[in-house]
Order: sequence, then structure tokens, then C-alpha cells
Amino acid sequence: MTNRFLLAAVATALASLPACAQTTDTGVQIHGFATQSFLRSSSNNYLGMDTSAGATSWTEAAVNLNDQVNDKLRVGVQFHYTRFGRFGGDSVAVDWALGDYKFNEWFGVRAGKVKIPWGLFNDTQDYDPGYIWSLLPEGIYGLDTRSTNLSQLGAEVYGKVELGPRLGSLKYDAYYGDYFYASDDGYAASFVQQGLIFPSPAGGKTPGFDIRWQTPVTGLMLGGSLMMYDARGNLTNGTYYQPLAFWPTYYGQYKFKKLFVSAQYARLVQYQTATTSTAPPDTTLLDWRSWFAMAGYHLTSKLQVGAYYNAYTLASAHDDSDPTNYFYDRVVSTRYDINPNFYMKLEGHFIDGNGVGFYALDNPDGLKPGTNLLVAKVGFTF
Amino acid sequence: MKISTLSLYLVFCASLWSGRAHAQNEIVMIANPNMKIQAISKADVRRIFTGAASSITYGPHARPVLLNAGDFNNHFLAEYIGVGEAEFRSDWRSQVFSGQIAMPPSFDTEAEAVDYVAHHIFTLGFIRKSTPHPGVTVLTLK
Repeated sequence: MTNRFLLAAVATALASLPACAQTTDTGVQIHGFATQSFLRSSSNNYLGMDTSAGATSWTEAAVNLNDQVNDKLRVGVQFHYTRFGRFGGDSVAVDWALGDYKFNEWFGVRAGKVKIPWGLFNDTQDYDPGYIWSLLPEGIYGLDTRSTNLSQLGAEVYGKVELGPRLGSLKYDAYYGDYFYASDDGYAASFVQQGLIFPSPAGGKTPGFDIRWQTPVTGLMLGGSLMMYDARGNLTNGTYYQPLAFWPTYYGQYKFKKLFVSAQYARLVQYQTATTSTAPPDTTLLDWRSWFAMAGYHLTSKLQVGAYYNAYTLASAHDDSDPTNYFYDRVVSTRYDINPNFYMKLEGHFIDGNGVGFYALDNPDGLKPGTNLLVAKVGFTF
Repeated sequence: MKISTLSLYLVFCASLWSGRAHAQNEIVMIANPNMKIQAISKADVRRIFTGAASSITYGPHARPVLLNAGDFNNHFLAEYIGVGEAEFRSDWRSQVFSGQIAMPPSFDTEAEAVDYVAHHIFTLGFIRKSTPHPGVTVLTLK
């Protein structure tokens, strides 16, 4: 609780800095945001929170410092505070910390702790003010698993190639680095549910790439990404190993005046082997597919409305009738920008199934197949 | 007849006023003279001012110089970018918070923007045509 007050005080103090101090490149730039949420569900506790009773335990804030040293070199760091239910703890983490050298338009290098570009939203999913949505499609951008998927410790090359006026342009990113499973997120909770206890977080290598084609049709972008990762770790009573897993995704986005339409499809195929002192090696397969389609419209310059549909199925379970193997979420949302710094959001979820975001640990009396959820948020950014 | 004449007169005055207001808000793009460019396309303005590109197509590196919120800034966003102030800032901040870029410099007045562009190579700005603009190149639209 002390951390929350401290963060609020720091954020308020930073927000009160003169605008010129935040945006001129004569020195270090400082930007930040903070949000507070309220969630209430009709049944089932969701995302590690006591949502069926009404939860206010989702608070986020971030502050970044950027120094554009010269036209080619930039250095920066971002600190992120996340607290929601059992996940995220009550501490501040380094979101990214990097040096970025841009040789020219088509080639640059970033190194350090770098966010992973994957799909439409992976590298921006923890910046709440950037969306109309309070919750991104959970089947692909799990709020409870994002701290593991967000960044890697390594290097990234990036650039943009003009293909000509009739072909548009191609933006690429490719990366290679180390990552670790977060010690307090949804993956950790799933491991515990499987009886896998890690004294220290498992981790491995994560190579991958993202390619985006800005088509010659104004506002239309198509892309694809592949994230790969392996993992090794020690269990309290054995070892854990994941061979290289493949997580491809394909997506598109169209923006026209006040309208945007987006869609994405992803599939994960991942094997894991746990070897313990009490049992022979146990290899399991995780194979899921998920997609979403979303649209939003600016009714006025301050008021947006939107809706999306997200489907998730756990194919490796071979049982489509069990609600724990699927997740279908119909969402309606609205956002009002009070001014360029302050905003409010209101969102309704109509969820069928418990495939993602629901944990037996939070629902000791068992899970019901359907959940309705209301999310309200207020936030500010500068 | 008198009413019709009065109406015509009022319409004439309104159109004059509207034309004057339009002239007062006419946008011109400015660049640092060392960039050695004389013209820019509207598509390039949009790409550079949204962070989608950091150079002019087949041309030099270019960094946008923004104005803080105001009617003229909204006029520029409507004419060249096609989004409102909140969405424009939000798109920039999304890129900043993902660690991809730094926010462009942003000023309260056009005079400050002119001064910044005049003293920083590879910078582009926008001002009213009537704003004094010593030390910068006024670009024509391709």
C-alpha cells in the first residue's frame, strides 16, 4: 500500500512538470501513466482477483526516461509497477532498458532489455492509455502471462524498406536473447497447478522476428510474427525442460478516418518434460489456437466505442465439450478522453468457457461455464 | 426587397470573414535549411509526423517538431494526419512506451517551433503562413 501512495505521489509530481520539460530533446524526456481499475464478475473469479465480489486490486503505473543523445543514438529505461490480484506483486520492474542506434531508415540496432515485437500488441500491451480496451483479447494477450512474454535480454535489429509507391513499405524486427518465466504470473500459477515447483525461475533463449507490410492501400497493414523459445529449470525434486517452442501469428489492421478494424490469429505448439526423483520423465504437449476480430469507431474526438470477439481452443486436450478447454469472449467497450492526459473506460465481457484467465486456486468451489464481467478504468498519461 | 439586400450583404461579409480566417490559418511546412529540400509530399508529412518514417522518401533524415494542444494544432492534425489530438498523442506515446522511439520536441508557440527548426538540422515543423519564420525554409507541397 505504501508503494501505491509513493507511486501516486511521484506520478503526480512528474505530471506537474512543465510540458516543455517533457518533450524537448535538449535533455532527458520523462513520460508516464497510471491507471486504476474496478472489476466485477457475475460468477468465477478472473485473472487472480476476487472479481465476483468486486475487485479494485488492479493498479498499474509506468515512468520512462529517454535521452535522444544525437540523431542516431538513443538510450532509455522504463519502470513499470503492476499489481493485480495475486499477480504482478506490489513491486516495480524494469520494463525495458536499452541503447538504440539507428544507422538509417532501413537498419538499426537495439540492445539491452528490449520489448518483443510479436503480433499487433505484444510490445504495447502494458500501455493501457494506448487502447480503447481495458482488457486485450485474453486468448492471445493474456494479462496474467504478459510479464513473461513482454521483453527479452539481448539484441534486436530493425528497419523499414520502401518498396515503391505501388508496393508500400516493409517494416522488420528480428531479435535474439534470454528470457525468464516471471515468478508470480499466470504461468507460475499453472506450474503450481501441475505440481511443478521452481525454487528459481526457469528460462531460456528466445529468437524471433516480426514483419509488417504497409500496403499501398492507405491505412491497411498486414503482418506476421514468429516467437520461439526454449526453457530449462530446476524443480524442487527434479528438472524441467522445454525444447524450442514455435508461436507464429498473423494479423491485419485497417484504419480509415474514424474507424479501425483489426484481426489476428495465433497458434502455439509447446512440449515440456518434467523429470522428478519420484516418477519417470513426463512429456506433455500444449497446442492451442486463438483468434480475434475487433473494430472501433470515434463517435467524437473524445468518445470511442468498440467491440471484439476472441476465440481460444486447447486442441491438445482433444475434448471440445469441456469448458476448461475453450474460451469465447464477446466484448463491448467505450472510452472517453477527458483531455489529452485523462481518460475513462467502461467495458463488458460475456465469456463462455474457462480456458484462459481462470484458476482453480481462485475458485475453490469449482468453475461455472460462463462469466459476465464489467471493467471500469480511470487513468492519466503524460 | 430590403431584407433580401441585407441578407446578401451579410452573406458577402461572412464569406469575406471566412476567407480571411482561412488565410490566417493557412498551414505551411518549414524545414531546417541544411536539409536542402524545397518540397515535401503530404504523404511524407503524414508518415513523419506519425512516427511511421524517420526520413523523407528518397530524401534526408527528418524529425517532426510538434505544437502542443490548440486550435491551430487541431487544424493541422485534421488537414494532414486525419486524427484528433488525443488519438495523435496516444499513438506517439504507444511507440514511446514500447521503447521504440523518443517523443518529438513539442512547443507551446509557433515562434518557439520556428526557432527550434532553424537551429536543429533534420527537423520539420508546421506554422501559419503569417507567422514570422526567419532562418527556415518554407516548403512547397508536392
